[in-house]
Amino acid sequence: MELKNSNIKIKSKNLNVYYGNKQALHNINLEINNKEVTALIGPSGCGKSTFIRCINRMNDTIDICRVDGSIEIDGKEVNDKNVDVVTLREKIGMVFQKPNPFPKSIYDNIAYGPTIHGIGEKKDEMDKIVESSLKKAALWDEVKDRLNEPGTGLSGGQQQRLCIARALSVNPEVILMDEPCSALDPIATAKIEELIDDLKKSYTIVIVTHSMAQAVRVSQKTGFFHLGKIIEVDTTEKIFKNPANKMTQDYITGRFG
Amino acid sequence: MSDTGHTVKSYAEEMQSLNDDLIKMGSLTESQLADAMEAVIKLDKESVDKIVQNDSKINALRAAIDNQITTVLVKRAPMAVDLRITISTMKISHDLERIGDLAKSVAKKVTPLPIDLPDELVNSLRRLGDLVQKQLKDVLDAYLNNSKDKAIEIWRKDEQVDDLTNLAMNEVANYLQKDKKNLEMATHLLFVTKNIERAGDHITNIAESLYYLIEGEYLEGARPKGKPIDS
Repeated sequence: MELKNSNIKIKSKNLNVYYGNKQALHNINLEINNKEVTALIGPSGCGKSTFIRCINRMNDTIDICRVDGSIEIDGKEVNDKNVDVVTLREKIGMVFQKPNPFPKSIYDNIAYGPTIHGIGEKKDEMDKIVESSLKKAALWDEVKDRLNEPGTGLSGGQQQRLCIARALSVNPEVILMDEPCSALDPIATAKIEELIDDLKKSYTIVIVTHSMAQAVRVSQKTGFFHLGKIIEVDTTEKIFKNPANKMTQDYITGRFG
Repeated sequence: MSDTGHTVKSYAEEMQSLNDDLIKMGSLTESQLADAMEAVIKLDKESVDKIVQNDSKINALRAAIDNQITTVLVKRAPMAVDLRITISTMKISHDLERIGDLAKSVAKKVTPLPIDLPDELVNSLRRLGDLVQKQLKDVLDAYLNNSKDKAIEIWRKDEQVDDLTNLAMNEVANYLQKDKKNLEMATHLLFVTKNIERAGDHITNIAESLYYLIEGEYLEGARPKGKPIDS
């Protein structure tokens, strides 16, 4: 399988991130293809999450965090002063390790995003958004009869799909997933992975995962991070069958340290 | 192979055990082939039973390796070089088992053969057998030394095995032409020749598996082929 270079959605160039005096990312150059799943792997603290948080500027919320270098989406600089962060995050949905639905009804969990972005002001419009988001997240059939019940009452796997539905409700282009299945059982994990397979037809997905098997199953491209540096990026097949770098091999075969 | 070792000790031990069993299997197969060839060359009918019995040791090791590989796959979901070792070990062990079977078949043909076979015939079988035994030794050494260059060399050398097979076949044809009463013996000898050649093919398979294990890529190009039998 060849890497498709003509179809880049996100591109980082010499990206450096510092938390106070500590440098968390060193000169990250990474290209993420459109409508593909890119997996980021590496030991804890290697910078994978820091990297994806640069994409939607989540690091802005940390006072001591400083970002330099470039990160572009569709050729436009994310860190540009003129970029409106709210609009940027509308374009980029994010799903976290622990499902974090709002303490609201299932319906309101989905409606929240569109409301603050001024979408779906009419009731029937919002109903459509809620239904289509839940359908895209493969949750509709399970919750359509109890949309007014609290989202926190769902099972862990359903809550995670609710969070994905919530991310989809504002029509994003990119979905960032930070260990989305680490708190889920194998069946709930399988449902999320099935969903990722389906979503990649319409969205660019970046997933941080500690499960090698999951990276192999869901992604087309894999990047290996270590101590804030990107060590190797290649097709997922190449990385897991025959990585070029010894460090990558040692990590994925459990020989690290 | 990485020299840092797995973080999980039992994983390292499982991979080591696979390696040890494959080496043991290789060495048993080497002796079986040597014994079978010696029985043919010396027309030593006494040794046949022992060779036939010993084949079960090779089969048992193959079964043990299969079993260990199933465990490694389900327990460890091996990746990268470990995945390649696992897959290649399974393939190599199956090829060794087949070489063992072929050695057994060669030995079994010694029983019906007359003890006064023409020297040219015996010599042509000896040449073929020597080469195939050398190939087996070399491929096992290449495995031990993790040598892809050796693997390529062995792979290419199968052409010579094919050539010597054709020469041996011609000798059998001459033997048959001399006297039609030789038909039954000639048939046995054709099987012996063909079985040795097939052992050579399995050695070529092992060279391919070894190359994949080391490089993560398949040996490219068509297999070298010997000249066809002159008509």
